[in-house]
Amino acid sequence: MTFSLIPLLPELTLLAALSLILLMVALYPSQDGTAAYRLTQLALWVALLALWLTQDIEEPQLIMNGMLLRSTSTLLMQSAALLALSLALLYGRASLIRQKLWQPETFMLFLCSTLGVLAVIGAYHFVPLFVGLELMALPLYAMVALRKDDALSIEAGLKYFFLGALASGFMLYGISLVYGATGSLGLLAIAHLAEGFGSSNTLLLLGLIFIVAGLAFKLSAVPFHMWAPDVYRGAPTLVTLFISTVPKLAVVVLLLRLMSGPLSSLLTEWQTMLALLAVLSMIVGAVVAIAQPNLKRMLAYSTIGHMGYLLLGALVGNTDGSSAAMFYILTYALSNLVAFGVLLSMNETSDGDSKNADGKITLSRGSDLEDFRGLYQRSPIRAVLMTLAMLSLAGVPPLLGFYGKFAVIAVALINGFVWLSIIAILTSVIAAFYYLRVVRLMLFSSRSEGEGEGEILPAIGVIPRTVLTLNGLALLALGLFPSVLLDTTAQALAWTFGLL
Amino acid sequence: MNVPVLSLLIWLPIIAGVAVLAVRNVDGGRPSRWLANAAAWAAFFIAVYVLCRFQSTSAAMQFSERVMWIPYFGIEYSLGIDGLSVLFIGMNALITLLVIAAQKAGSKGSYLSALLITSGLTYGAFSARDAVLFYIFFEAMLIPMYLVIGVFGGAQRKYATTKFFLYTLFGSLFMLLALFYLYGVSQTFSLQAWHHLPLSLYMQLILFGAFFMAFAVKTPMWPLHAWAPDAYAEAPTGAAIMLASTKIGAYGFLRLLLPIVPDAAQVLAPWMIGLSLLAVIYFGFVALAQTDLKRLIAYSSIAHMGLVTLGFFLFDAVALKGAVLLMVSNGLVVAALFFCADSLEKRLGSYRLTDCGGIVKAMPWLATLLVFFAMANIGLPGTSGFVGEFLVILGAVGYQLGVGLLAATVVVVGAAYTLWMVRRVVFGPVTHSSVSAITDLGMRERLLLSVLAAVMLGFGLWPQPLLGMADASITQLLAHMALSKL
Repeated sequence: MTFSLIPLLPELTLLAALSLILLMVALYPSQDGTAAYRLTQLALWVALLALWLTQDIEEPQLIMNGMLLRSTSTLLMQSAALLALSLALLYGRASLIRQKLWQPETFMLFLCSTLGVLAVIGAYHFVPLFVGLELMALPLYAMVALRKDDALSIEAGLKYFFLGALASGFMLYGISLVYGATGSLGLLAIAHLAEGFGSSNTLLLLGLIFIVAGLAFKLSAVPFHMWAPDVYRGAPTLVTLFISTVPKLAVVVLLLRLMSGPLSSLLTEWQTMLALLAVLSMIVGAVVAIAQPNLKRMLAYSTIGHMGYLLLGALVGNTDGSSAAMFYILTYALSNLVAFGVLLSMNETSDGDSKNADGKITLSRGSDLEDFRGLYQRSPIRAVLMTLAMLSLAGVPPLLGFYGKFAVIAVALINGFVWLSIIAILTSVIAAFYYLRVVRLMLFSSRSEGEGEGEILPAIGVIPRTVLTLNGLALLALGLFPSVLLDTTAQALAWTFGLL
Repeated sequence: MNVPVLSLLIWLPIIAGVAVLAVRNVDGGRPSRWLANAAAWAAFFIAVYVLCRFQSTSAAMQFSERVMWIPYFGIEYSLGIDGLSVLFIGMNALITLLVIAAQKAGSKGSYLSALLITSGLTYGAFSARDAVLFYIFFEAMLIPMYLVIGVFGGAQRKYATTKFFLYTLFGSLFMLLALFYLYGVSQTFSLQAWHHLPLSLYMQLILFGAFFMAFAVKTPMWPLHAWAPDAYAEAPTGAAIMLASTKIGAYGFLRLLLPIVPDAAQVLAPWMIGLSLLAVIYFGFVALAQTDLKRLIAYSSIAHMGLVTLGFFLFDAVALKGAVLLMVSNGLVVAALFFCADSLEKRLGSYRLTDCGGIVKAMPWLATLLVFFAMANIGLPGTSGFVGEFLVILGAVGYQLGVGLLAATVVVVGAAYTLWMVRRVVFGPVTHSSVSAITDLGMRERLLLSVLAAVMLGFGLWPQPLLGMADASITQLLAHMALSKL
């Protein structure tokens, strides 16, 4: 078998950039993040280019002795991950500078985690899969706690670390049980072996339960969601954006892959568990979000709810279901980028500046719903973009988010999951209430006299503003021509299902 | 000649609306107002062209356009109008034109823009032949309306607009589930194909429930009406008229509910008749108790919509024609009354009935026109209201005498609250100090209301053109509903 490194070019590009930044830090310890930022953006786009140049394949291929998969769906999701990070860094650049996180190390962590994401999306063997998951998760723990003098940030980092370690343990235990049942770690081999077992194999079933628990934690599906609100609130907003978007892409691919291939003989068990997770996530995500006074916490519950809808598509367990789920995560990621892009452009007071007189650590502010009151009068463009994002997340036509909900609920209903569809409909009305509340605060309310006087919103640079606006308009444009995205995902999956 | 007339009709106001939004701050808003007026006139002339070229002898879809839009789900961008939609296209054009033309200097560009976009989406909903396309137009209207009421509405606007949004979303999402089910059965979203889709009675009843949720909220029908009085009362006049006059909810009954689940409609007809009669009587009395002019008009409109839904479920050609005419007539009357209320509010600063009184001396023009519109609201022979009400009540008497008698209360109670309103507003002693100081209608208002009055009078005296256009399609709809789909 020939052994070529060319298909690995995207991953290698990120690795090279990572090493280079490390070297730069070692040689010039006192530099700020400018060079690292530019290098990161460059690496992301080179990786994206490499991805498209080296992998013009229609047939799925297993490379590296069957360790990694290259297919149209991995191509799509890896591109989405790279693009999402690039956009996120662009939107969050000014915010990083304001929060004094403009250091090369920050970008190293982002690159490292994204490398893990690429590995998970491509993995077709439990070893690279688990290594990728850890590579993705470990930098996240540090990223959440980046603001070393912020009480919430530290608390969130610690909480995320302990719960994340527990989830990794679950996952690993599940993998070992599957290995025990089948004697193999390669997904292809497991698929062949597990077919003969049916659902009678207790060992395999137990392994599945642990794996689903681990995945549910990463997706922040209820009842494994406890970490999400605190982590979302405590982490620097750019990190929150990253956590809520990029790793989710990888975990969704992983879920769909395990479900459609290696462990597809246990479809009924998958469906039972995912249905439970989906229902609980949709309900908790919709109801609890109403009580949140902080936008980041609200968006955490919004993510939980969205993962519920995603699982609704995934649990159908056929090509239509998988492509609906994949389409859903893409629509969610695009809308989320706009919402967080606006949030990143707001004043987020860093604690370094606002320590109390007695030197105690204070809590970071600037993301409360109240900060958005009357935003339209202060900054129409922010308010309009946020409105687009909120309406898209709420799933109101003709915005992109509507088609995501459309796809998953249609597929679920047609395949006979009637009650789940009805719950999805009811919870999306409840969820619309809290998305609308943000719109109401921004557009219909105004600040009372004297409140927040003299507060100046930070200016947004020309490039971030243009890109963010385009991103916001894309929610509308893709809403008018949803086929662009829908067909891409559907075709990506049509060629690769079973070998997702 | 293959000009996509309907697409033009839909997208011209929407694109103009976006352009108005873009230039709203240029030169004190004059260009934006000019542009909005031009767009409204252009759409009006296109609509007139459509009305003139419409072949009223045929029940087939005309001005058809079909392009595959979302191939993955087989969703088509498919437009076309028949006798049921053409009347509402015309009415929407007239109402939009009047609402836009009524805006004086100083009105906000964003307001005009939202009205234009709503108008374009309304054309879309009336001409969509694909269920998803219909749904998207139907739902997308929520956004501009929500924003307009929230930004430009009255004191309770935040409460009213949230209630409006959530009610409508709640109702229509159930319709979405119904659309998914029908797609699962038929593998298409074409309404035409669904009209001939066989369905078991059990499934039809469930689908009926889902469609009913959507359209009963939008119509509005008792008991899903609670958003309407608040939204109508809090909305700025133009938006209130666009909400109350376009009749998109009742149109949904005709286009989707009745032809897709006719057997369920037959089975549930007594219940629907009951609900409609309840609405007619209950809202009539509620209107009697109102002290706010806008709320009174709102309840009056909802009461008349009860008569319209009654006409739908009698399964009788006469009643159905009457219901369609009543939709058009009520749209015009409600628009006219809201305009009058707006003129009063501009001068007196309030919609409270107790703040008016004796305006006949100060405002003879308004008094005259208001009395005329009141007569049209009651359904006095010679006005457009008469023909519709008469035909529905006639159909109801044919169905059962008791139903006919109860339906006729709309005339009695309607006369009571309308005349009492007129007495309190127009006549009586001058109780409010500012009434004596006000001026009569300006040229623009006079012209506007006179146009509406002329249209009402015209259709009242000679309803044949309206009836003729809808005739073939109504006959076909009834024939279709008589065929069982079991």
